[in-house]
Amino acid sequence: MNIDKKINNIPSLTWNWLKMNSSELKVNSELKEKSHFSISKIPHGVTFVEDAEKYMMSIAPVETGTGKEISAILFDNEIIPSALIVDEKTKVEEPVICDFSCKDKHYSYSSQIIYAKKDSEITVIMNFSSETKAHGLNIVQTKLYAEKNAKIHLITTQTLGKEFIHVNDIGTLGEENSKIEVSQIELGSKKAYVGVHSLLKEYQSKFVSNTAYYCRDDQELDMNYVVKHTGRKTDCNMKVAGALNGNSKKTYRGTIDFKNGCQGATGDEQEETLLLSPSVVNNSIPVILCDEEDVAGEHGATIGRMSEDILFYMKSRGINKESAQRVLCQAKINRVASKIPDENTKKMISKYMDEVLYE
Amino acid sequence: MADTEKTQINDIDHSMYDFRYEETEDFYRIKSGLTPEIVETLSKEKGDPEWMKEFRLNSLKIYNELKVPEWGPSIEGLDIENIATYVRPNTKMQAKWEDVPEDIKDTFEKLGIPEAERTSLAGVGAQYDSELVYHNVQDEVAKQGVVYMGFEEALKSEQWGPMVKEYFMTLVTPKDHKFAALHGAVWSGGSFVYVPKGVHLSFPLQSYFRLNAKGAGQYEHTLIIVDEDADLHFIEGCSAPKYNVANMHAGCVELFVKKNAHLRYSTIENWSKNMYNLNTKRAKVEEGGKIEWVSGSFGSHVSYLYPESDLVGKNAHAEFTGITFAGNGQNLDTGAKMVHRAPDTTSLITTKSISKGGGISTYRSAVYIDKNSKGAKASVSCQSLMLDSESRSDTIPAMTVLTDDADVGHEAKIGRISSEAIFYLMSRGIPEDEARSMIVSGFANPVSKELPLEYAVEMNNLIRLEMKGTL
Amino acid sequence: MSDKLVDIQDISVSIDSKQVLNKLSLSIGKGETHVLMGPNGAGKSTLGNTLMGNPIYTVENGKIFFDGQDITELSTDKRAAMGMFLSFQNPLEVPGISLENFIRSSLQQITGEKVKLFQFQKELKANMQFLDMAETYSSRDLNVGFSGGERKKSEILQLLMLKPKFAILDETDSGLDVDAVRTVSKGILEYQKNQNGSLLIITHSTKILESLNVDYTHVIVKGKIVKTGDGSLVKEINDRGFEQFINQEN
Repeated sequence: MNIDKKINNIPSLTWNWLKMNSSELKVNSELKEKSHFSISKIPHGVTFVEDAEKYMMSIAPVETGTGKEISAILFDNEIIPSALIVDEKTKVEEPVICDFSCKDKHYSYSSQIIYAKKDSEITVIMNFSSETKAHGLNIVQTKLYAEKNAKIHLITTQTLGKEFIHVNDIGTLGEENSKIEVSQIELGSKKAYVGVHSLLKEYQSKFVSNTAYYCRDDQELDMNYVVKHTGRKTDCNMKVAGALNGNSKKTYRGTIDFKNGCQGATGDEQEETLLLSPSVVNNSIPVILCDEEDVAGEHGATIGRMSEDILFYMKSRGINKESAQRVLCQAKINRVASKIPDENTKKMISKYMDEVLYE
Repeated sequence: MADTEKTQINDIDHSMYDFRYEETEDFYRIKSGLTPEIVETLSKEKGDPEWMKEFRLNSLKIYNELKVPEWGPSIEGLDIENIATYVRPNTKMQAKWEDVPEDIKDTFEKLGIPEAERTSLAGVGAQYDSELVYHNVQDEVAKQGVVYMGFEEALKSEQWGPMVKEYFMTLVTPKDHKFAALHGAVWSGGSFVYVPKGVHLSFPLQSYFRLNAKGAGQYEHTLIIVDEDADLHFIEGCSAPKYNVANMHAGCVELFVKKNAHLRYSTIENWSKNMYNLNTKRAKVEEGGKIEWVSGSFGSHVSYLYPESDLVGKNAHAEFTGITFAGNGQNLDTGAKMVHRAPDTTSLITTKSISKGGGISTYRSAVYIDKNSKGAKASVSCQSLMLDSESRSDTIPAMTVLTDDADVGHEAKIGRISSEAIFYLMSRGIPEDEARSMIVSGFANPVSKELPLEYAVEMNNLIRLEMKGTL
Repeated sequence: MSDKLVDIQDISVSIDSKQVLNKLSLSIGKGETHVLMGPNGAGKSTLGNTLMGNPIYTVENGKIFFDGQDITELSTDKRAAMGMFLSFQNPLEVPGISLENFIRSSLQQITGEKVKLFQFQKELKANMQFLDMAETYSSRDLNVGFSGGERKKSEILQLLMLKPKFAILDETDSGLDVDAVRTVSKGILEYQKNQNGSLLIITHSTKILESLNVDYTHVIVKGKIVKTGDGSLVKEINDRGFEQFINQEN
C-alpha cells in the first residue's frame, strides 16, 4: 500500500514557483500496524482507554495540521484511537509519559486523544525514538480537547533514526477560558512532517506553541501551523526556533487566522532560524489572515548566521567559532527542553544533542 | 476623418476622476476575441517588423496553453474573450500641446498634466485608449541624449529598433504567466526611455494612462534602460472612469538598471472601481545599481500587482515602498518580489495596507535568496490597518534562503486604529472623523513622503475621500 | 446653576465594570488652581480622563458642568472646543503627523478659523524657546522617539499654544529630571499668569507646585474626596503622607 499525498497544505495559497503551498508525502510501505508504546503510571483521576472508538464522534470536528489526508489514511486502515480522559477538576501533577520506540522496518500508525474535562489539568509527554540506522515510517495523529477552564500541555520529542519518516499530526480545540500548550523538539528522522491546527473556539481560550529543531546532513523538516480564532479575546503565541546544518532543508508555514467575530483576539508568531552551512535550504511563510477589526496580530522572522557581536563576545572568552555554534544550537533546543517536567526525557535529549553535536 | 466632434463629458459622482467621454465615430475597434487572425491584423495595422509579428503569434500560442492561477482574487467577472483590444482615437501623434484636439486635451487638463508640465517635468507621454496621443520631449532632455518616445515609434526607428529587439520581453517573458503572454500577443503603445551613460536627469519623466472605451483592454509596454552611472526618476500615474462592463489592464513594465545606475519608479494607481489590474512590473539591477519603487494602489476592482526586482550584479540594491487602500468592492492583491542572485545584494520592502468598507487587501511577497548571494541582506516590514469588521486584510509573505551567508528579517503587524490615539487627537479639538483621517494619512506617510509633492497631495486627498466614503 | 467653571456633581465612574469614582463632587472657579493628590489607584487619573470624556470610562451617575453647560454626554473634541485641555500622563506617539501641523490643526478646529501661518510659526518658535525645546522638534512626528521629558514639554507647548480656559495636568512631573521639572513648572506658571485659566494639577509628588499659587488642595482616596484644604495642605501631605486620610474614608 503506497502513500502519495499532499499534506501540510497552507490555508492561503501563493505563487506555485515557491513550492511552499504543500508538501509531498510519498512512501512505499508494505506493512501496516498500530504503534506500540509504553505508558507511564496512569495518575488518579485519569482514565486510559485503549480502544476509544466511542470518543471518535465527539472528537471528529477537531481538525489537524497536516490536513485531511492523514485522517483519511487512518480511517482507511481502521485505526482506532486510544484516549487519555481527565476527570473534571482533576489537576494532574506528574506528567503522563508515552514512549514510542519504533522498530526497524516497521511502518506504524497511531491515533491518540487527550480529553481534559472542565477545570482539569494534565501534561502528556510523547517520545518518538528508534535505533540510529533504523528504516521505517511512523504516522501519529493526536487530538487535544480542552473543556471549559481546562489545561493541556502536550510535549513531543522526536529522535528517530536517519532513515525514518515521521508524521506528527496534531489538532486542538479549546473551550472557554482553556489553555492548550504544545511543545515540540524535532531532532531526528530523514523527513519529519509536523502539522498543528488549533481552534480557539470560545471566549478567552489560549494556545501556546514552542518548537525547537536541529537539522543536519540530508534531513528535511516540514511544518504547518494553523491557528483559527473564532472566540472573543482568544490569544495565541507561537515560537519556532532552530538551526540548519549540512544539506538540510526546512519549511515553516505559520498561519494566524482571525475570523469575523473574534473581537479582542491577539496573536503573535515568531520564527528564528540559524543557518550553519552554505548548502541549507530555508523556506518560511508566516501568514496572518484577518476578517475582524478589533484584533492585534504580529509576526516576525529572523533568518541568518550567528551575529558578529555574539561571535566576538564568545571569542573574547576563549570560545572558537565551532564551539560557539554548538553552544547556540544547544541553546535553541534547551529553550524548550529545559521546561520538560521529566528528568529522563530531559536527559535523553541532552545525551542525543551531545552525540549529534560532537559526532 | 475630419475634425473631432465635441463630445459630452459625463460627470459621474463627485470624484474628479469619474468622468468619461461617450464613444463617437472617432473610435473603432477590432473584433472582440483573440484569434491568430486578429493578432496578425493588429500587427499589420501597427506596421510591426516581421520579428514582432512572429513574437505576437508565438505569445498567443503560449497564452492559450497557460492556465489562470488558482491563488489570488477571482477574475471570474472578466470575460477575456470579449474584450476589444484595440481602440484608437482620431489623432496622430502631436509634438506640441496646443495641437491636441480639445476633448482629449480636456481629459488631460483635468488630470493635471499641463500644470505638471509647467512645473519642470521633462516631458509627457499620454496614452489614450491603447494608443499614444501626445508626446512632447523637451529640448533639454533631448539635448542630453535622453531618449523618450512612444514605444511603437522606438520599435520602428532605425536607431532604436535594435535596442528594443534586444530587450523586449526578455525580463518579463510570455511564458511567465497567462497575462504576460496576452500582453506579448496584443501589446499596444507605451513608452521607451533610454538614459545614456553618466546622464543624470534632474527632473522626473512622467507618463499617464487612460482607459476610455467600453470593454477595451489596455496593454501598454514600458521599456526603460538606464545605462551605467546614469540616474532617472520616472513617474507613472493612471486613472480611468467607471463602466458597467469589466475592464482589464494587462500592461508590462521592464526596467533595466545597468552598472552603478539609479532608477526611481513612482506610481499612483487609481484605476476606476471596475478595472481588473493585472499588471506585471519587473526590474533587473546590475552591479552597484539601485532601484526604488514607490507605489500607491487605490483603484481597480481587482488587482494583481507585485513589482519584482532581480538583483543580478554584486552590491545591487532594491527598495519597495508601497501603500494599498482597499475600499468597498475592491480586492487588491499587491506586494513585491525581491530576487537575489549575486553577492552582497540588499533589498528592503516597506508596505502599508488599509482595508475599509468591505474591501479586501492582501499583501503578498517573496524574498528569494539563491546560493550565489553570499552576504545578501533582506528586510521586510508590512503593516496593515483594518478600519472596520466588514473588511479583510491578509498578509502572505514568503522567504526562501539557499545560503547560510545571508540575513533576512521580517516583521508584520495588523490591527485597528488605536482608540487612545483617537482620544488624544479629539482632546485637542479634532473631531473623530478628522482624527481617523489624520491617523490613516499618518500611517501612509512613509509612502507619501517618497512621492513628488503633487502626488503626495493627490494621495492624501484620495485617502481623505476614501475615509469619507465618497469614492 | 453655579458660576463655577467646572462643576462635578456626585459622579460615579467605572471602567471594565470596576467602580473607580464613587459619588465624587468637586467644583473649580475661574482662574483657580486646584491640586489633586492621593495614593496610587485612588482615581486621580480617572477623574482627569473622565472630565475630558475618555470613552473607556463610564459615568454611571451624576453630572459634569463646564462653563454653565452640561457636558456629561458631550464628545471629547467638543469639550476641547469649549476650552478644556488635558496634558496626558503618557503622551502617545502618532507617526506621520508633525508636532507643528498637529498644533495648527488643533487650533483651527478649536477656534474655527484659519490660522495665520506666519504669526503661528513665530509664536510656536517663541514658546519652544521658552521651554528649551530645540526647533527641530516642530517638524518631527508627534512624540515619535521623544524622551519622557520631551513628551511632557510637548504637552506644555500645546497648553501654551492652545490657550484653554481649563487645563488638567495629569502627573505632568512624573518621570522627569530636575531640569525638566523646572522647565515644565515655568510653562505652567506662564499659563497661569497669561491666561488666567483654571488648573487642576494631578500629582503625587509636589516638586512641580513649588513656584505656583495653589488655591485649593484635595485628597482623593478610593474614588472619593476625603479632604479639601488650601495650599498648606500640600506641605502637610509632604510631611506626613496619606496615611491619615486613608483611615478617614468610609
